Amino acid sequence: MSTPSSVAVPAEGPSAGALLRRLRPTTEMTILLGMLALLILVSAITTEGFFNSENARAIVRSAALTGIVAIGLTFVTLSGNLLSLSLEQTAAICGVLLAMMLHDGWAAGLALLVILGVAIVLGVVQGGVVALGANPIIVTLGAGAALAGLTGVISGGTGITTGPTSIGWLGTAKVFGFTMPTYVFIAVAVLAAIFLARARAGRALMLVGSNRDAAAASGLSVSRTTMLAFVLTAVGCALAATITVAQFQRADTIQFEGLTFDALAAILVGGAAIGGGEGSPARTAIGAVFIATLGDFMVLHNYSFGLRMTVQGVVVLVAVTAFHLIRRRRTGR
Amino acid sequence: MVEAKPPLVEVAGLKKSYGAVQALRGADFEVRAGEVMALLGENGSGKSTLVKVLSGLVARDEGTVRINGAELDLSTPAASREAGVATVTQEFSLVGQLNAAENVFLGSGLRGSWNQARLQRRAAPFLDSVGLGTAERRKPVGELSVGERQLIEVARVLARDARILIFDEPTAALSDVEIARILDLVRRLAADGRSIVYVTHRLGEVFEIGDRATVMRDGQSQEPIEVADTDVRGLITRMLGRELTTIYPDRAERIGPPLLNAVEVTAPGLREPVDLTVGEGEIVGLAGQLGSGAGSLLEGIAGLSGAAGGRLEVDGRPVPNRGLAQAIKAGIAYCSPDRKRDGIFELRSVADNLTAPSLRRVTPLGWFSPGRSRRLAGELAARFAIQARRLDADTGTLSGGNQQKVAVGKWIGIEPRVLLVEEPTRGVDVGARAEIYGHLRELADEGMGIVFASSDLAEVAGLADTVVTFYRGRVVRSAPAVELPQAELMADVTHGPEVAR
Repeated sequence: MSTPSSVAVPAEGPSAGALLRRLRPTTEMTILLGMLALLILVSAITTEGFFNSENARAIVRSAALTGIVAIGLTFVTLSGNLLSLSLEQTAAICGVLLAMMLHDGWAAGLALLVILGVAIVLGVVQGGVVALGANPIIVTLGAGAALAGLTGVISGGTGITTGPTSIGWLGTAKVFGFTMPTYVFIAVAVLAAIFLARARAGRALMLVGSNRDAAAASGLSVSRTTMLAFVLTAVGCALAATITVAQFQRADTIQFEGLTFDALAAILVGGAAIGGGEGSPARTAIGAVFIATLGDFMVLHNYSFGLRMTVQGVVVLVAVTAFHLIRRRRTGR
Repeated sequence: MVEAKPPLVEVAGLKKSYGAVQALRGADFEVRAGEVMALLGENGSGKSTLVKVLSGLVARDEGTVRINGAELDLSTPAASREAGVATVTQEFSLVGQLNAAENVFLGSGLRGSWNQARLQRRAAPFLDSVGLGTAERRKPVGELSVGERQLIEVARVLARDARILIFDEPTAALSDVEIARILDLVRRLAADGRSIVYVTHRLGEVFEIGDRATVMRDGQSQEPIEVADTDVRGLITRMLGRELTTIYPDRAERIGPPLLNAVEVTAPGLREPVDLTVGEGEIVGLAGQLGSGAGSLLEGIAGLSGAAGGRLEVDGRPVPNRGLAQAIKAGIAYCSPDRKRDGIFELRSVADNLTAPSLRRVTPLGWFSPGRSRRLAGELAARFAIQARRLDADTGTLSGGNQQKVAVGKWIGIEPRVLLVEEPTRGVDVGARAEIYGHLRELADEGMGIVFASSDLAEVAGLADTVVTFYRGRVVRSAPAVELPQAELMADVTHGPEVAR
């Protein structure tokens, strides 16, 4: 029945066309970079004190913290588990615990291990409940409230200072003019991209996010993948907490206020599909830079807090709508 | 007496294509007032497209529809409703939290102030005429049986004063007692002067309530026949109408020793435990309508449904634990009937799809090997005649036939001993069908055991070495395909064991 043209020859490697296609940035990435370029251009023209290296470094520095957490959250979104609303609370409890341990004179390495352990437990518990079929938004909303309360109890409601610590360099050291958090941010983005493209668990995560039922029918463990996604998200929060404590030598319960929304905004501006399977750490990272640039622009223009929130919200809405329309056109639905 | 009445509904020269698939290629159809017209045909014969045209769900490409002599547009459901046509489907459109009376007037634009008493009073005539008990009228319909809900569906249609009622397999999900109620209701509605179009796979019902029958085949209609002038076999002959063509490969020359031994398999949808043996190189076809249990048996063997039970042996080794993962490990691959839902990843590339069940094979030591992935995907694509240049395309952009090849072909990567396929060619055009049959036969010839379930009887008769027929959750019989005439095959699945022996 099959005509000669429809008989495939086992491919030795990717064809030239396929290679080109892989190198060519996706439509979403092109749009994203275009949006960022436009924002920088408009800011540079209209804003005094915007287009200089010092301000650029400030932008990247503020993008770093959001970006690290947002890349962590990207795993939950890509795996088809929507999002986590307990990011700032997870970071806060990690920060407070770390500061207390450092304050009490623990070895920094040991304290960091404990924080990592706490993050893993928080991820497994939240991911586990979600894997049982609970709605991730409700679960993390509840977990966030519980963690916020717990953090208050642990810290006694006051800020905790550590004094100079051996991890201070993580927050303040500069290499080639950029501070350490910027490099951590870049490293996290690269590692996350490699993990998703190359690790078995990363590939399983993308498949589960693309079609949960098909992944289960193919014999992949959806619940294990869900737990892994939440663990990676919590680890991202712990990393952000570590950098913050290292930099400011103190921690308190409300240190990360607004982080959840900023991370979410970065993911959405990055064009990830909230239903899963579509998006990338690189795009989330650029989304974080976009949000940071926008924030910088608005601060330089002395926008009020309320106005800044309004503009950021509108930008997220526009981005989400635009990406949705692109996807609908591409899939023809 | 029938000659005196002119047709109330007259359809002529109806054509409709879905993309490259021509579902209707010139169908004529008519119904008289007060008549029950059975509409029959195999899956894919075009009868459901005809129903959709009449109910305004799809717009026709060509042809005319006249009701009461006037040519009508019917391109929207509202236009169809306006013309007095109403469809009672299997997919219930009732709101479970509301009671029967409330559902009857749902969306009917009942105006003015209303309260429960007034609503019950207004709904009473319609609920009376379908025979719903008074006790059931105040309960949320979610608490009622499927049959009672079906009655409320009909009452709802009557409340809109529909004169032409289309019943689309109303009894498919009902018990015997409930079926009797529905058939009785249909008879009374026709006696009231309403016109009934009755679509069914259960031929026995035609003789209980039908006046005439129109048989569809390959998108074309045949002259209506008087039910009184024919019998079950006569209808079956008209439905089949043709010999098997060459789209089916040769059958197995030799069937090897037993490969899969399934004993007393139970699963939701099976009314009694079923045994099944599949030999090396054998293709077993499970024939049955939707809900007959043919698919349920495959799901039970695959360990898919939570309540599945029974013992399995593959190559003489027992399969422990009975879950999907265990089955896969034991070399049992299961391909679902709904590829969009859980058969393919539409937004991932063909290569990613083909390697999904073999993720371990392409990620040695936990790390992805692009070389292995390309090789495996290339091999599987070649086996199933999927063009190599498509490997990087999103799977959702492929044709239905190619998607199905991906959905089945991906399983070959785990090198299964037994391949279970539910509806191997649903929504697949005839060219790709023939290819899929050929590929399945090749796999069997290499020693794999294959079991497929299908409601397409021509497919079962043409492809299988051994046929097992199912009717309402039970096995009717198991026989070599060459010893089972198609007429008996169809009688088994439409009528169960009581006729055709």
